[in-house]
Amino acid sequence: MRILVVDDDPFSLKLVMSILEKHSFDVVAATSARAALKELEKSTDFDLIISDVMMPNVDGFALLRQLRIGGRLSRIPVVLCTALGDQESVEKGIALGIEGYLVKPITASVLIGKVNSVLEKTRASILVVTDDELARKRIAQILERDAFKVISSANGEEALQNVKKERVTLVLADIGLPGMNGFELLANIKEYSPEIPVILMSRQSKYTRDEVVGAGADDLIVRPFLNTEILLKVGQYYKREANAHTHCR
Amino acid sequence: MQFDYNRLLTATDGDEDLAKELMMILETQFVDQLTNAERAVAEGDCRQLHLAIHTLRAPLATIGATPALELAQALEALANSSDLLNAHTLLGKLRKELEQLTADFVTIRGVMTT
Repeated sequence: MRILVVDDDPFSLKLVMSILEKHSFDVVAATSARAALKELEKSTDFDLIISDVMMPNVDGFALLRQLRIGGRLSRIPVVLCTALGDQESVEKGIALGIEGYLVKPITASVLIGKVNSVLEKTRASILVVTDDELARKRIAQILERDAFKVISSANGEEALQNVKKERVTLVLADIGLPGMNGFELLANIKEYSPEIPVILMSRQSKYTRDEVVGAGADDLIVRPFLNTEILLKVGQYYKREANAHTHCR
Repeated sequence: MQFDYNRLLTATDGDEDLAKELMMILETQFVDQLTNAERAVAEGDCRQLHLAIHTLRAPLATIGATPALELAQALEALANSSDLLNAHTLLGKLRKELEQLTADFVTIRGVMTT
């Protein structure tokens, strides 16, 4: 898990970084909001941002506003870690879409508790959409065994609701769905949030990869499939997680 | 001792090496932020004074340096109210507190290495 820590106070930055590193997080430090935005220009590959509020030039709230403009950055959860414990600051943070608020001084146990709870809550969710109950269960099992959080839907309408209310980071959808079919669901998802990758699933030889990609999908999985095929396709979108599991085995 | 070493150790989850490193960082930070604060007071710049003192607030609270923390909070309040009349006196007191803390850090580090 990769975390960007933003703080102009060297003491707090060192404390937070050391605690996180001790708990095996991969930490990148930024000593200002501008430095944080530069880091995010280089890579958006962060699972969490922990930011101070009162910093010179650009403060933590202004940084949050930048992050929430849209695209991939708006999907990175943010925890504010600040000496400002007043209700107004907390509410301002909540209005800007933060996932957590820590009031300094902090201790190692409080920090790790908050980080873990936010990461658990915002963990990458894969939405699996198929009316075939057995397939739904099987795909969920394969993915959950690889530490992914899975949400399932039996039809397109329900899937679209889930995309709107959950933090969905990838969709695996059958083309042959009752009601709203896979292509219609794909169009709706891409209209709502174009950055969510959608992998369509089809029975053998019904559609080619070119056809589904031409329709706006990111990839095609042909059923029946092997467990490893699902993990490989999904792993392309979650390179870090896939690598982490490779090291464990 | 003008601070609570055990409180710092609670923050670091008992990591004495990290506590030592943090004390060394703070020594530099005290000098830097006092310089910034004194410049801000001389220039009548409330915003800069607030920023300089605010940066010290979290570290002072983390190490349980109550007298220094109270002075920092009082200075922050002055900066917020744009009334720097007593700022020079408070800053002088804060300087003395931070110098004492620095001396405490040196003592603690000496004990740690023996």
